[in-house]
Amino acid sequence: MQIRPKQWFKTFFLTEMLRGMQLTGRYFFARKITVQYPEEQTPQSPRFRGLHALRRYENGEERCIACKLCEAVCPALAITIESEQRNDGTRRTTRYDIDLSKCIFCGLCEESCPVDSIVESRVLSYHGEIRGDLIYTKDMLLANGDRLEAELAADREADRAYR
Amino acid sequence: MLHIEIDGQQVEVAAGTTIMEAAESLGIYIPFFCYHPKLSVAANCRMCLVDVEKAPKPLPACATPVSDGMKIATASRKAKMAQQGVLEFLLINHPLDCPICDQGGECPLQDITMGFANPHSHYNEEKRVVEDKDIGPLITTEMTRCIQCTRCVRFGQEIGGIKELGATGRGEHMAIGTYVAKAVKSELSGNMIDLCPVGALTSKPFRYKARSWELKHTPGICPHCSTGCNTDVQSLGKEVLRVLPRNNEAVNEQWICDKGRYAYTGLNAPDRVTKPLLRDSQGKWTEVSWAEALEATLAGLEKVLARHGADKLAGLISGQSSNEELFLFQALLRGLGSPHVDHRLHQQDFRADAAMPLYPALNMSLEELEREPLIVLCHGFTRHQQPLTNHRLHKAVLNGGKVVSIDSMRQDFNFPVTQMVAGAGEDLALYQQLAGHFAHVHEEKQSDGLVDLAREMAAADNPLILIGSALLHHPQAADLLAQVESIAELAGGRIGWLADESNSAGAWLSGCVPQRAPGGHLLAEPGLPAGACWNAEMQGFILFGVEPGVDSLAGAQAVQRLRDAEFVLSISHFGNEARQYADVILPMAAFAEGSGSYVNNEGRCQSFRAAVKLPGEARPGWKILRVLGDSLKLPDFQYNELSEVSAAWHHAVGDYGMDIPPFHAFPALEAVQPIPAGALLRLGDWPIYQGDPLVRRAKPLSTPLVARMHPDQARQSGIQGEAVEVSSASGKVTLALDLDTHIPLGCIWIPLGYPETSGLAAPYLPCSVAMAALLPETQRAS
Repeated sequence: MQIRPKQWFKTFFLTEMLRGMQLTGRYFFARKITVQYPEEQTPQSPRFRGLHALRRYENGEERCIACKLCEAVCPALAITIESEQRNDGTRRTTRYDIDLSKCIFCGLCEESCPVDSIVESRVLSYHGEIRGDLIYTKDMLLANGDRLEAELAADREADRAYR
Repeated sequence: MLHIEIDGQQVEVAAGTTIMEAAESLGIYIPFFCYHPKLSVAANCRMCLVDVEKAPKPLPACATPVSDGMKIATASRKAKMAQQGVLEFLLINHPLDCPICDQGGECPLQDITMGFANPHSHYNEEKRVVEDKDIGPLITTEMTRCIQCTRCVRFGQEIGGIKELGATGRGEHMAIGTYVAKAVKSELSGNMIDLCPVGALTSKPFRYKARSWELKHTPGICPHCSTGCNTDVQSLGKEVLRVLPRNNEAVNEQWICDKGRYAYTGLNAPDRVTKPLLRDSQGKWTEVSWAEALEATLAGLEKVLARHGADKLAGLISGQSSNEELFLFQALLRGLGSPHVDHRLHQQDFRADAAMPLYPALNMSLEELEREPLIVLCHGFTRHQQPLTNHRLHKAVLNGGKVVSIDSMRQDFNFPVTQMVAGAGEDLALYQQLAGHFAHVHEEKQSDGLVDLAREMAAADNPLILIGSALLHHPQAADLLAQVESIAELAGGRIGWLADESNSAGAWLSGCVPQRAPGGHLLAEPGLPAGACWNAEMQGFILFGVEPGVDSLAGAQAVQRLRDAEFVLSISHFGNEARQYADVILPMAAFAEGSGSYVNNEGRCQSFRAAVKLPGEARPGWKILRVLGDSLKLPDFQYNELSEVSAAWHHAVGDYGMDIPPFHAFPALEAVQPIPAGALLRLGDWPIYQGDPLVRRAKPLSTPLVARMHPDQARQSGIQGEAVEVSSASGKVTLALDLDTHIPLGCIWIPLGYPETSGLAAPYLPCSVAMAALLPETQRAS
């Protein structure tokens, strides 16, 4: 085995170790960026694509008109809609399910919606204990919308110039 | 031939061709809304404007005939500017409500806007709003969306035969609607939905149910009349959501009638049977497994066979069943030793059975019907019995032909028909008179309707005589048929049959008549026909898809016999009637749920596939019959696939030919009881939407039950007001009454096919009427 002097020097004086420790030392004294989740959160864009919600108009009427464009555009086939004519003659859903275990959060449903009904909120922490828990029904989605309406409306307003 | 050039492509076309047709032959697409190949040219949407060399302004392609050397550009700057301008104008008043419009996704306006419009609009003012009209339970209107292409108006005039919709107002105030607020009555009205290029007319039962892109399309064959229209059954999941016509120029062109279009709404009727039902000794119905139901069926059948012999077992099958089902059904009955197999519940006179043809064939194609110069309809109200065959007759009239109808009452045809109406119960006399006139057509000077008809028939070259289904329902059907045959002979004419039910032809071919085996081979020992089974002390019945209480002429008698019988097996879709008398009900696949084939009136064998899954534990009819045959250890029941049954059917039936002799030799006809003279007669037939179990349950098609009487007759019988109590030997019922001059004196017209009237005497039997108090609201509304 041929002994190369340069390598022998490196091995003997542990220079690589010192260079590694140099990096460690730099971060040891640098400003910390760790976020103390869940007490603290990273900043989110108004376009953040999190948990879905169905919105209502100000008078309490649900926005969704069962046009099924979101169902058609969904690349993961996560949305299932059934519709009928409501007693007042309007077109409404009788079922609006999103299977969040299929959803890839691409946001196409939100983009295709002609009435800003289905939206993706900033909520990213939710869970289900059994698989069925992640199928969000119309009632759950409307409840999400009701709970988050102020934020959702503000986000749409902030993004309006670019839509 | 003219040489023209479209978009640089040379083409040679006949004189009189329009630019649109010439472009179509080259495969060049010109956008259009109001143009339709089956309708007259209106050229009012201006969407098809094209640039023609040397023409100062763009010309509408649909209305411009080509001239020699014409050079046309469909995509030049001028043509494009015209297209964009027209679209901008059309969209001024068209609401942008595509997301809630049922036409969305299959809308020519949507597609053409995407393809040809300028994406910018100059219009900022308010849009026009047009009030919606209520035009009945089949069509929803959303008139704001209308672009005034007038396709629906032209359809009503030219195809439907009734001018129901029209345009009122001019310019921006032009609106389509019924002139007087009323429901559209045409039996072809649903086609206006398909014609409408926007969402102004949409299907009411389908409203907001689904979008066009998510529907599964399955080719089907309409099971409601013998025309055999080709349909496109559209379903989502397990539910049939709509039925649209499928183009077949040889059969239904591109139309279907409302019966075929909306009957699917009866599929999920509340009495749909989805599990085998068994009646216990207390008469209570319980849902059981197939194994238990089959066990009970076999025990019941074996008991009847052991106690009374196979001669006391009868099988009645619906004329709507597929060839495969009919074939297996007769094999099952005949395998068990019973000769009594029939599908003709609508018939009561079977004396002419020996003379009947191989199958009731039109003996010509439907397309040939359009070119007939003289057509005589014998008791055939085709408008309600075979709406799309009727459309061919309509076209024959438009082509300069003449249609004459001989019937027991004046009928509401939708095109000019010369009508010969028999007096009360004098149908046979009318045919006899007509036959009698042939002897001296050349001498007689007097101008009587019948003499004229005889003269015309004698003068015509090969007139066509069509035997309608109502002729077979007549108590003297055999005599009438014999008369029709002699008239045809005297006139030198041809005879065509208008088969009664969708697969009557298949039933005759498959041997579901008591005197013939599959392929029309005569049987040495014929069984009893359907009508005779009710009087023959039958102890066992196998019913397949029929409801004898409303499907037969003697409803009350049939139900009574079925109740008294020892064992009744009903293989059925619906349970309401079968629960009255059956011992076992086996749930069967209904329309769009099973596969099979039908033979239509022309003799055209058309097959169809199941569109949706079976509800609950229902099974296809042929599988039920196969299992029954197999468990009864009958030979030749080892079929695994429908194709094997079809092959066996084709093998047994053989090559039957589409042009066959219309009659065999008539036997000597025994005299039947003459129709009583002097008494008030009940007339009646199955109305268009009451003819079979499925269409009876279609809610949007349901029509109120009304008796009809001539006003003079009503006065004579002392009837005033809107209700009448009708009583006959077998029952009594109170009905709403309409005064109608179409009904001959001495008659009252009461429709068949309603459970309420099944207790009354059969048509052409006497009944009496009395004044009745006003009907309770519920009954009148039904």
